[in-house]
Amino acid sequence: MSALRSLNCTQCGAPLTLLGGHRVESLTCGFCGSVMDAKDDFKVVATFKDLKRPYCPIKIGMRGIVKDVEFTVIGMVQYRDEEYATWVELAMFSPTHGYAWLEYDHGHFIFSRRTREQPEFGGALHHKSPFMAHGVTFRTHSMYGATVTFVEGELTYTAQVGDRVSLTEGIAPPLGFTIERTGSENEYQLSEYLEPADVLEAFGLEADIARNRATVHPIQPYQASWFISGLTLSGMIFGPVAILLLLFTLFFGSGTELLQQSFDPRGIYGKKGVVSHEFEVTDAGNLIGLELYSNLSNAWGAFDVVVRREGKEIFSMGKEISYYSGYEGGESWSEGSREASAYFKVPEPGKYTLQIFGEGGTGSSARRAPQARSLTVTLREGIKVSRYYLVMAVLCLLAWASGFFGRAAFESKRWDDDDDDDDYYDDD
Amino acid sequence: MNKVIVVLFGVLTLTSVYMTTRNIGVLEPTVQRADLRDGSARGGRTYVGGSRRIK
Repeated sequence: MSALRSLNCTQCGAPLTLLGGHRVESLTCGFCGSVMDAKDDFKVVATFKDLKRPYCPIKIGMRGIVKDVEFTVIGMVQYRDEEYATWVELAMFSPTHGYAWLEYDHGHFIFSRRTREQPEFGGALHHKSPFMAHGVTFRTHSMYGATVTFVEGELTYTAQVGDRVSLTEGIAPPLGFTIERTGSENEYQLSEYLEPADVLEAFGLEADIARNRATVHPIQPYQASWFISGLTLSGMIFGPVAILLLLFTLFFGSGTELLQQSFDPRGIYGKKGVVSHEFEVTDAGNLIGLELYSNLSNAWGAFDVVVRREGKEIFSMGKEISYYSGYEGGESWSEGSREASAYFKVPEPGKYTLQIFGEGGTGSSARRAPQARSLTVTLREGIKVSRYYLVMAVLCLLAWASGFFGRAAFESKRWDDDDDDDDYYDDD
Repeated sequence: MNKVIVVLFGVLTLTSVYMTTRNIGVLEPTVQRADLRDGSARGGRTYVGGSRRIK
């Protein structure tokens, strides 16, 4: 527990509470904007009037347990980079653990402590180049300059509005390492991303005041939404099941052949049609697959297929084959198919025949003469269609892949502003 | 909440098994042969491909 001391602002007389320890070097009055030197009887060294206090849910004087240590917020600094993006850094003090920083950046909270350990890197840093610090490999995310735009409370250094600092940030989510250059002096900070709800709760605030994080912070760890994680989990569970079912039907669902017979075009396109050999269906519950094939070229054929048992019509269906091809505008083209298929069932086991009537033509409605090509009919019993398993397999693969897409989109946002940093590297 | 998605995919998988084993949606509709012979089932299709090609 820090011992509270108080004094009056040496510029405006406002009552000020001292919360920091003996390393505090400056105190900025929140009423008049005067910066006082804590090491020289709080003599005013600068005054910045009419500064607007930036929004931050955590205020000076609040206490909270962060990383298992109780800290008191003693000061606040707002920075602005060259692209006018702003963020707030809160100075925190613990009598037992010293000083730390809590950055608030549009809903994100970053906990930082200064470190004496220098990073190790070979050559100049550039976009995504790695460097080592604290046994962790960081990748350079950004290098930029920032200006102080607001100061209030106690700080372990004398900060004034307009002060500039150069920053190099390396990331290894949820950790970050910042090289802060002021003049010829380098300071290093090791950072860690904290969940906003946890931070707000630690300071006794309602978690629901947390702002929506519209942007991705460079060291924000990826967390899949419940929807994406549900899709990924579902894809992992049911994808293999659907693929196994699909493979099973593909390998074992083709059934057994009941009939294969070719018919002469004169019979097919004649008035009485053709009648097939008799075939025997052993199980009425089985699906029967009918396949028609005719080697038509730039022609069509329409076939009425009638299933009969003991001369009695069970049912009939119509199938059409049309195939056209040619060479036009420097390109070969083709459309249609020389095959047609259908699935049907019979009401009971027994012996059946097919009667087939055909019509055909070569394309023009005025010319209805069929092309003289034979028709091959194949019947298979015990067919298992694979279409539903195929749909499920595709759905599951997409669901499973959604996790990768989600992470890729998140990483893309994480590195989104990198291109702009190239200018900085070049000038540097 | 992600369990809702898992349950949904479970139901979809079971549905696909049910539809496959019961051959739902795959059977060819039966058509009266008289209708077929009228040409009503394919009247619009007999020349669509060909007329374009025979110019």
